[in-house]
Amino acid sequence: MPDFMEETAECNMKIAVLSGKGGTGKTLVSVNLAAVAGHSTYIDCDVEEPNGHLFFKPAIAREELITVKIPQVDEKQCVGCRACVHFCNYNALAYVNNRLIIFDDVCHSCGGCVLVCPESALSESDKAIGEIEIGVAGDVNVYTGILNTGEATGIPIINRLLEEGSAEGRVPIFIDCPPGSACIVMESIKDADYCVLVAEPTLFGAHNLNMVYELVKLFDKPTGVVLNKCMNEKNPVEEFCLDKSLEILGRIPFDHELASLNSNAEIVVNKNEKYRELFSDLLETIVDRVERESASHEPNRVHEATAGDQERHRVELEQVCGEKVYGKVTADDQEDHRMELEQVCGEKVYGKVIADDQEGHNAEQEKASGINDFDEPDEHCIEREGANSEQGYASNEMEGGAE
Amino acid sequence: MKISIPVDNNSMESNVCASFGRAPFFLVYDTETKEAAFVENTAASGTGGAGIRAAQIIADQGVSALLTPRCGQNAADVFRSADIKLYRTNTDSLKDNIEAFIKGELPLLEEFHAGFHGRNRGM
Repeated sequence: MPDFMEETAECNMKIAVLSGKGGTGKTLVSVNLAAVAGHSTYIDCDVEEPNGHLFFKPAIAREELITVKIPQVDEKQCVGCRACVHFCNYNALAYVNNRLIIFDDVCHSCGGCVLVCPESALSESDKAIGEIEIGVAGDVNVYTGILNTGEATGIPIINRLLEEGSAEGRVPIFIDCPPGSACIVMESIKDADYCVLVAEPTLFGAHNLNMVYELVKLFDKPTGVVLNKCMNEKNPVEEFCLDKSLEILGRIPFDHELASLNSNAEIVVNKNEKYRELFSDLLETIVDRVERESASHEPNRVHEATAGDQERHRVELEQVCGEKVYGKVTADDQEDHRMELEQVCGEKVYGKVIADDQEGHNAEQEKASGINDFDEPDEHCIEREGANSEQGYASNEMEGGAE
Repeated sequence: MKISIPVDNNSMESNVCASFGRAPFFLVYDTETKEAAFVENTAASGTGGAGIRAAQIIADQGVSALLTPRCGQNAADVFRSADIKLYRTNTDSLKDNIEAFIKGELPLLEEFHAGFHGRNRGM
């Protein structure tokens, strides 16, 4: 275990690794981060084609079958009213020749047909859709989800994986996500403390990165980017990151030796010191960012700002900055905003910035040279109650309540 | 006998629709009385299982045969249960296919695609 990890062992640290398409290096990054962290958990949520276990070659300690509920019909009870057929949004049921036909593959296990059947002719039965494997490779606990070919969704498997993988508490936890930005990815990142986006240095790579960037923004997850397959030429992904103020956490070179080791299912940090250093640095950066995030979110955990507070706060911010604000309003937004205001009023602004400040300033500017309000205590710039803890959400709640 | 064909428009001049489950209309045609009716395919705009719902609509029309260029496995299962025979269309023209069917020139459709019901869906 690297030195910097020892202090953080207590910290809850779930790091999701995702990308807009397959083959960008999610598994390379998450497997090697878990390996270099030593005492850690690796969860392979790419249940359609899990391959992390090929690198770890874990000794399997336990397997668990994952089932979903699907309807079955008691033909003696069924009167052919078709209530279930009409109810099903996925068209998983049909009624022909006085017989109900159920399409298991199309069923999404909502249970609605069983509820609407007036004759209680439908009941639920278990159907296996895949399994999870729990294994150990050195200090790394390896959790693998496997979805049977042809099944509609791997979400029940992912839920069970994350539940099991978090239960042990062997942090940090690395979640190797499925590619893309569909429901299964959302399910995989929903409890993550930090999202690492892996991208290839092409225009296509930038496009795919944007897809997952939009997703993590929607989930309000702290995020950084790892550039994979870097060459000494212009990288459209770097431009994208610059444009979106996305932090680049690390760069993995386009390297024949690395590619060759990886394609032979070797964990590269175990094979070459330079790769160990690369991933160790990357891990250190990520751990630092997660810690910083959890520290800045601490007040929120204590005071728990409500959805209403957030909404009020968003409206305030939107009024001030004159554009739509999406996602959860954070301390960083406030900070950006403070800088804007300081530029306008030409002096330091303390405390939390609210819409009234901006309006006050606009009014001031409109009055132009009329009043020299710098001689008086500036009500817009006075230190507010609770200004000491302005970094978090606690203040949002206070300000929200004061309105 | 009553037959059905997926069509692009609700007119006898229409082409046969390339898709079964997502066809906008179905022609229901009586080969004896020459009576023709167009049934709207309410399954076409559904999010999933369109073939199953479309097959249900056809089965409810009491037809004995469906003339179609292709058909998914799930819809084919519904047709089998409903004792509806499937024939493969040989041109785009609706009228030509009806004539060919009456002359007994259309082959049975025996290959069904897997459909896209959450399967083989690229990420």
